[in-house]
Amino acid sequence: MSEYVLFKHLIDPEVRELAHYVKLGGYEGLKKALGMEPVEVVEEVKKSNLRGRGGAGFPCGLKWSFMPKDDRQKYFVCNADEGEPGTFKDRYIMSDNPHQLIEGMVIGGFAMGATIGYVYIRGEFQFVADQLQKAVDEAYEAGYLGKNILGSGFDFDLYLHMGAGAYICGEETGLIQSLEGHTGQPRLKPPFPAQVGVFGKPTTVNNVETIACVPDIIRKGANWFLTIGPERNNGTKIYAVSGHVNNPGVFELPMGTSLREIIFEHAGGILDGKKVKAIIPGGSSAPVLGPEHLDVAMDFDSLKEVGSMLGSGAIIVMHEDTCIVEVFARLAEFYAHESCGQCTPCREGTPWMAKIIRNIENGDGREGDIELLYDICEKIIGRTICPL
Amino acid sequence: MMNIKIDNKEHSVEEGQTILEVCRNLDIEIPHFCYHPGLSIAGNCRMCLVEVKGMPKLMTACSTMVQDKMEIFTDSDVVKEARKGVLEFILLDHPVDCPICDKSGECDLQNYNFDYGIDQRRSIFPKERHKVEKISEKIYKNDNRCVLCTRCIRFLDEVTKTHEFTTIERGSHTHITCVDPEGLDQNPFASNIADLCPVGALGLNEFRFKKRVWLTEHVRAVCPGCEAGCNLTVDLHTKQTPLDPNVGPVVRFTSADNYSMQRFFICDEGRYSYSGYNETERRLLHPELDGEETTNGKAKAFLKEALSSELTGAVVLSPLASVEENYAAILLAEQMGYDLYRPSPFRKDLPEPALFIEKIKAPNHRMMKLLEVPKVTDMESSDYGVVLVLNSIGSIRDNSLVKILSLLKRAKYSITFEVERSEFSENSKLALPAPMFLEEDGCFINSSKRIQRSTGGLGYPEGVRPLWEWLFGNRFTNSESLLTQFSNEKLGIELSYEKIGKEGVEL
Amino acid sequence: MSLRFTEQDMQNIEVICQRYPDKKAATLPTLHFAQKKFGYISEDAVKAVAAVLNLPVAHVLGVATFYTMYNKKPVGKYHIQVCTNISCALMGSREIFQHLRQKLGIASGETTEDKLFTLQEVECLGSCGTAPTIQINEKYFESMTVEKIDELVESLKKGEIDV
Ligand SMILES: Cc1cc2nc3c(=O)[nH]c(=O)nc-3n(C[C@H](O)[C@H](O)[C@H](O)COP(=O)(O)O)c2cc1C
Ligand code: SF4
Ligand code: SF4
Ligand code: SF4
Ligand code: FES
Ligand code: FES
Repeated sequence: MSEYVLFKHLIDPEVRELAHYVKLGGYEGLKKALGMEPVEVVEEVKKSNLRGRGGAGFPCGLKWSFMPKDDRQKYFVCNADEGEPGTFKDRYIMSDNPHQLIEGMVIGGFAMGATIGYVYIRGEFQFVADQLQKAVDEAYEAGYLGKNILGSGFDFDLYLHMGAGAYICGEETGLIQSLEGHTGQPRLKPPFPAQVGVFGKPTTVNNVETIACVPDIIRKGANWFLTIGPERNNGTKIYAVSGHVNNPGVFELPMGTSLREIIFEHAGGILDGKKVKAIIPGGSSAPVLGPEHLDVAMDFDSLKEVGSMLGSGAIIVMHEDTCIVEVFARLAEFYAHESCGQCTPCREGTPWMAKIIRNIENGDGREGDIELLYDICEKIIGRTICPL
Repeated sequence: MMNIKIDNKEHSVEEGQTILEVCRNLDIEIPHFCYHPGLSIAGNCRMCLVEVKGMPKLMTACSTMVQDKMEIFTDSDVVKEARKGVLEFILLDHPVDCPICDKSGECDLQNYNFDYGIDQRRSIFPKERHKVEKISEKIYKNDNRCVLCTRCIRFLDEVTKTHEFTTIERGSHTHITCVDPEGLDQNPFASNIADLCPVGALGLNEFRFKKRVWLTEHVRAVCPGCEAGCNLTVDLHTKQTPLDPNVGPVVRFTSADNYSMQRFFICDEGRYSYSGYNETERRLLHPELDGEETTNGKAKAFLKEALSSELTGAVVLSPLASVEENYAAILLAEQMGYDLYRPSPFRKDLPEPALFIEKIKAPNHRMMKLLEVPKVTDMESSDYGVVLVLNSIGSIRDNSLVKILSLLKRAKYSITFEVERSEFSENSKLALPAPMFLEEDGCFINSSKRIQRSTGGLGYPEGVRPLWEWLFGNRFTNSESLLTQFSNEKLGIELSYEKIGKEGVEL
Repeated sequence: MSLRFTEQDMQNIEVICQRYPDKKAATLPTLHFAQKKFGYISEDAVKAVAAVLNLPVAHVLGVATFYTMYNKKPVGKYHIQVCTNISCALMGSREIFQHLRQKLGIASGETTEDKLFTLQEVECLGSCGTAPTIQINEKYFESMTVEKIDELVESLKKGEIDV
């Protein structure tokens, strides 16, 4: 069994309580960070090769280093929108090991000079937010949040902000808009959030899982992190497996574990012993893989090589009886439903595609439909504000 | 300055501009819907995509700043393809009911589709239909035609800050809605959204089904409504067809962009004032002597008699008349040694929001202020033998009006230069018919001392001649020569109509 | 305006506002609060929220209609939301949804006559490992089957389950 970096509740089920978390070395990373220079903390995260777990795999330390070093108010925002179909990982960190996220937020805030943090949680996760809020209250009481944290002179306030049902708010500028109280319509970039983010101030947005990796990186050192997983893809990853498997669920494994191992060893293999037909390896936005790709290492670079992506690390498994057209139709309808509606190509194009695919699925497909779909796709991709 | 290349041609351009702005200044067309010079950048329509060398994706010209050595392609195959794509998406649900659309003829979608669009519909799905709605006394909305550029919303959020509109829902269900129809009717700028709308989704009830715009002639004018001097596009009804109801001759006022003033909108009061120029019942079209129609010859003889009478004289200028007309009157005063006066302009409280609207309800008051002409109400005696009063009724205060009337009544030779029969014309011996706004070229100096030119698209009606012709015969051949002389003598600069151009010159 | 916030409500909303440097940011939380209090986000509720936050009605209406969790119509006592997105669909959520439609005799977005149930098809609930997932009011019910649904609906009718 591998090391649990994020899922410490598998070591101690009570770790959601502060005392238990501290027993496992909790808040040691924060103490250590507060004794360092902020830039040193950023450097350490850079050195660890920690890459964003929210979808794009962007190096976390590098992102932190983009934050300006002036005396403007800065914000550190945690993306807990978890809306990508197939993804259900961040919620467990928030409900079962919440202090690790809180600790990561404070360290990040300290490193970037942000004194206010928000956790943007999808609205449906009220019960998850309740757990996290409990931990936040505990952390305030123990002096890990609030004024003059651990006597360091550093202040950090953390607030939870509930979404209200819009997948697009997972996109970082949509999230910023939503946090400011607007519709979640993504913004034009530039300006980038590090310059003009939430409330017009420099902002960094990171995924829950990304942030939760930070305390251990600081506590144990970047070099320790580099020992896990393949080069440039270090650390553990939470793989969320769903669909036609016997034992669906979330598994924290070293980055680069093969798809086969995840599906067959951890997720119990395919339902009723059937054959694999297709796998979506990184949430619904990731291109579909066939059974020939079962041996691919589940990390950013390897998946890119086979033409897909790690995305959120959500693995959706489909067995031989699955109608792939039906799956595509459902996904196309999802994207049409979740288009924020501002860009012409996405607003008009996604429902058109969904209708065409649904027609094919109903047996009413027409000659040329597939070519038409490709053509529409081409006219949407890369021509919109966000990459929905 | 930076050097860039657009479509393989080198240009030297100023920093801090977007690709779209640069191209606009160079007269290179970049089709766009959501961009508007008076609003924030939304970047949502995706119509303005251009190719920038070294960029993996097409860039929106409206939001991308030019950079030194940038190479831009506005007409490559990918760009054309992208425009086609956007137009196809828009037309998926667009009714293309141009024959009954008031925007037809000046619709961006219609024009772009003609220039860049597709010829064949590839979607087999029926178009969605929504009812046309009269959303307020002023405005109607046709959701079927809306391209969701959000210009209307941004105008009401950013410019008037009155927030009557919003988008509701999302995705393909997104549409605009008005939450406050009364507010919209009270908004002194609301009707601009009909100009702003790049398609026929928002229109003025007042203009609905009234006129095909391509049958009108457009001239650029300066609004006479107040001292702000907004630029107007005036639609004149010149060509009549049997299918075309007889409206006009002035069909409507819309805003004309003035980049130098950074002004792109007009107030509703100014906009709807156009209809006043179609009322002709009270129009003075012949000289009148003692209230009786007379010949030009007799009028001239009276004028001559007055000017050679060697009596004291007074000339009352007008904040409503152009620089040229007023200057003709000034020249007369100077030549004859008459006293010059100006009436006090009419003032009105400002509406909310006022933006650029001015309290002073006359377009050329600033000229008189510049020349430091004394107020007629400050006049000590009012006994003059000869009095000439320029057309100003409707733009002056009551105390000035009373004073002018008493001047006219006491003078032996009282002369007015009037557009309509008025208290002035009725109380003077000689009333000369004056051209109205839009009948004569002329300049006006607005509250920020910008001199701007207004075009007299309608021309002089029969019998109506400019003031300088009455006063000086053939000495001036056109109004421009007066302007030039005025600028030389009074401003110490040389101006011509060309120099003033479309957008005027700040003094 | 017929809907009002009480003094106590206003204080709660003021506490929400404290979290942000700009009152506008309180739009979403205040709408959640209003939905809890008034049951759904009616036009009046939109106006009440706009008034208490001193924001344009247009803004609040735009936000309220953009997000799917704000109900623009009254919902039944139990708001049954069935995820029919991919992972749930693979595990049979369509059958569950169809079953519920027949059982309750209503389509997506509709409410039963007794005002007990509102049925709604929703997107991924972030609980795909325990698919099919349904959410009733704020509570998740996971690994659903047609049989379990029948039981669940019965106990809801009897008021045995607190959601
Ligand atoms: C349409 C769309 C939806 C997204 N949804 C999420 C999400 O639910 N959660 C998330 O963490 N990131 C999501 N992202 C990625 C974020 O934009 C952003 O890259 C991420 O929060 C950055 O965090 P990271 O660097 O830690 O990965 C989404 C991106 C797009 C384009
Ligand atoms: S691509 Fe779609 S979701 Fe993204 S900003 Fe544009 S319309 Fe909104
Ligand atoms: S009504 Fe006109 S201006 Fe407003 S969003 Fe639609 S197309 Fe744009
Ligand atoms: S603000 Fe004044 S000048 Fe401008 S349109 Fe209105 S009345 Fe005319
Ligand atoms: S004009 Fe640039 S996106 Fe609309
Ligand atoms: S697909 Fe149903 S909860 Fe994710």
